[in-house]
Amino acid sequence: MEQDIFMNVCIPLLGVKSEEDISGFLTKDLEVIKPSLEGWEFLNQPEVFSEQQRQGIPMMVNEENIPYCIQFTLEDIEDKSNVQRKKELIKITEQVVLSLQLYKEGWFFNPQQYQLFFVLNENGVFKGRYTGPFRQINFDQFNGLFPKQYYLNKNDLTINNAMIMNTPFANTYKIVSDYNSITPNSSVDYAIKNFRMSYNLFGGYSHRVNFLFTMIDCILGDLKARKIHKTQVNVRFLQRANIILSDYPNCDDEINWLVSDAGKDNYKSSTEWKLIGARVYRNLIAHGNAEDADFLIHVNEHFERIQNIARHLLKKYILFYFFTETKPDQYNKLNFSNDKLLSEKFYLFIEGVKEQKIAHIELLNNINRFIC
Amino acid sequence: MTIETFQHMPALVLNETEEFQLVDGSLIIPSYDLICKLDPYYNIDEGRFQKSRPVFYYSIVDCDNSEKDFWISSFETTVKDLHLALSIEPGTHLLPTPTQSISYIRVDSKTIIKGGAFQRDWMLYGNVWPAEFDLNALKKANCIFDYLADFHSIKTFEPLKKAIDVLNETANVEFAYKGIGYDEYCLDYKFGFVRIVQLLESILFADITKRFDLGITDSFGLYWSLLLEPDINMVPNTAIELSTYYRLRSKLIHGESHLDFDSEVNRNKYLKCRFLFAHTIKILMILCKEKFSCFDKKYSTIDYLPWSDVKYKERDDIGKIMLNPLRRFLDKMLEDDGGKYKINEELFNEFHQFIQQKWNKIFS
Repeated sequence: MEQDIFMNVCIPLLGVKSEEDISGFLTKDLEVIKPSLEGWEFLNQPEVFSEQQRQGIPMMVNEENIPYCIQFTLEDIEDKSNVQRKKELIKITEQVVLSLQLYKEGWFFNPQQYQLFFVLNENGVFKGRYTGPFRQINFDQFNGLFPKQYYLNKNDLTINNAMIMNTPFANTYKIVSDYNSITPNSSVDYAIKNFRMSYNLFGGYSHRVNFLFTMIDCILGDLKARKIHKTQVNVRFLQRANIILSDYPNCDDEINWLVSDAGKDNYKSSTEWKLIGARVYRNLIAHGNAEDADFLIHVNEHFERIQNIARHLLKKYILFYFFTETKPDQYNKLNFSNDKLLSEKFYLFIEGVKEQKIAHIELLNNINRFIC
Repeated sequence: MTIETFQHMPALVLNETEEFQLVDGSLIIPSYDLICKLDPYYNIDEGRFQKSRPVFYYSIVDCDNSEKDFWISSFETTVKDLHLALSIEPGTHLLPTPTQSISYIRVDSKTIIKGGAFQRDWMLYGNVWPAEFDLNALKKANCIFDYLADFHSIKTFEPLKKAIDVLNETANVEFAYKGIGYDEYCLDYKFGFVRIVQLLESILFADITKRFDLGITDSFGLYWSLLLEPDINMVPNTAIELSTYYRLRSKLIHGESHLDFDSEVNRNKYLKCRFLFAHTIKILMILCKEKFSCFDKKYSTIDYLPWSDVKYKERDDIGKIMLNPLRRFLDKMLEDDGGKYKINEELFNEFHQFIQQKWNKIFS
């Protein structure tokens, strides 16, 4: 009898933490594991260990420091070439990473810059890895650069994957995989790129926040935009953000803070630090005071606050594009002219909600329901 | 005491030569034996090392013990300058930051090893994306490297500082490398291109001061061509060509679903734009370092702005925007000719002759 060929893939998540030892499933097919010391050594190549031992680094040889990994299996791959298998592996990895980033706050190192492992049961057992430019990174060397780390908890997982229906992660994963199943849109891709860059390790807070502001501009248009591409802007930024993020916790306060330049003249005074509006960071970065912005974002712990707003907004943008591409009945009711680009359509969609147009409100409700 | 410094330059590949003398130090491909001496406890695979042919920046200095720290920190600055020079000339390579790789500092007989985030990976396993330099390219980069040597004011000219930041940011591995599995397409020139156009837009002109009924796309092309095109008669054509970059950027960020942004044609555009951007940085460097006299003239913004049309609230913003002397100067180069623009020929020629003259000096 012929043996089924499959590939077990392991995505290491450097930086992910947990309050207690956990294992279980994020979705039906994605399992969270923490490899044993032997398992981790099996996956890695010996030179990584010899290098770390030479430097006297206890990192990966210490069981406590072995990272959580996400494991999945590629099945029905008999007829696929190695290139096709790799492509599929990468696609799922990208989905997993973006979904984790969209699911909740917290930082981890992008595994695609690090390495991915796989074990293939073809012609015996073959283990391999795809390596990124930072595959030999000594992670502890940079722990002063980390933002707040990513925590996976028992509540995020289920022990029995057969029971998984609609967990919050599965929902987020569906948003991403749905998007990947249709023709990608460059504006969504650009927004995603900027969001993902807010997870970079070496740029510092000002760089990360700058990427988030760029993402927000890409989706909503600039604070002072009079036009989005060729479409006249009649709804001001504050209103646009309030409409689309109306279901965001403390929406009014958070959006007001996002556009506020409070403290712009006295941000150097420690008594005023906490009162700084997010706009001040943006202006500091734009006018070459990134070091001040780095410091203030850090002491105020404002990075996550901006990133959380951006995260919520990005999910809506992805869903908006998905719905407009895949639900023609709903899309046609919006009456967008065909020559409009996505960000123009998104603006007109928000304008329509403001004008209480039924189709627009219905779509917003659908999007909000999906995110909930 | 003798201090010898070796900094691995990730991605750099030397063609036609094994060693290249720079104004300060040299680029070398060290022998396997030398690396083994510098790094005796690391088990370096000779086969891999020979295949990889890693390039190092090497310098040597004799100094007193009291000057040791000074020379070591000077070395770091020099490496930064060299990285910038190699990034600007020819300008199309995405060069990772050298300090993310390995460096060896040999003080008399002791060696200090500094490993960045790549550790020894790029030194031993070759380059994911090779940046090849032949002798001609190295000579040109060396001229830029020399020019940067005593360029202390480089951070004082905001447009230049911002442009260099974007050049580095878009070459940063976390930005430039799309991730495992992209093979020859692993580098992200596309979104780097968007960042470059956005930066140029912010330093060249102020949209808020919209002039001659030009839209933002045409303004972008026109203002950039004033900097890049030395032939006044060719400015309108060059402006049309350069505005296509802005148009492509708009389609990218606003989301044209049916355009193939990864096509060969568009990939070449991203590359060419980066090349022109690097060229722009060289011009900005000249303007900053050589103190172009026209920048010192105090042009009143009120002279040519449609001030009465500007809402009171925005005047403060315009004041700030006009602080950028580059914008002020480029604005001044365009004069009103019955509602259309006319290039101030005298100013234009003065500017380009100045650039050309300094240019020749740098590369002589």
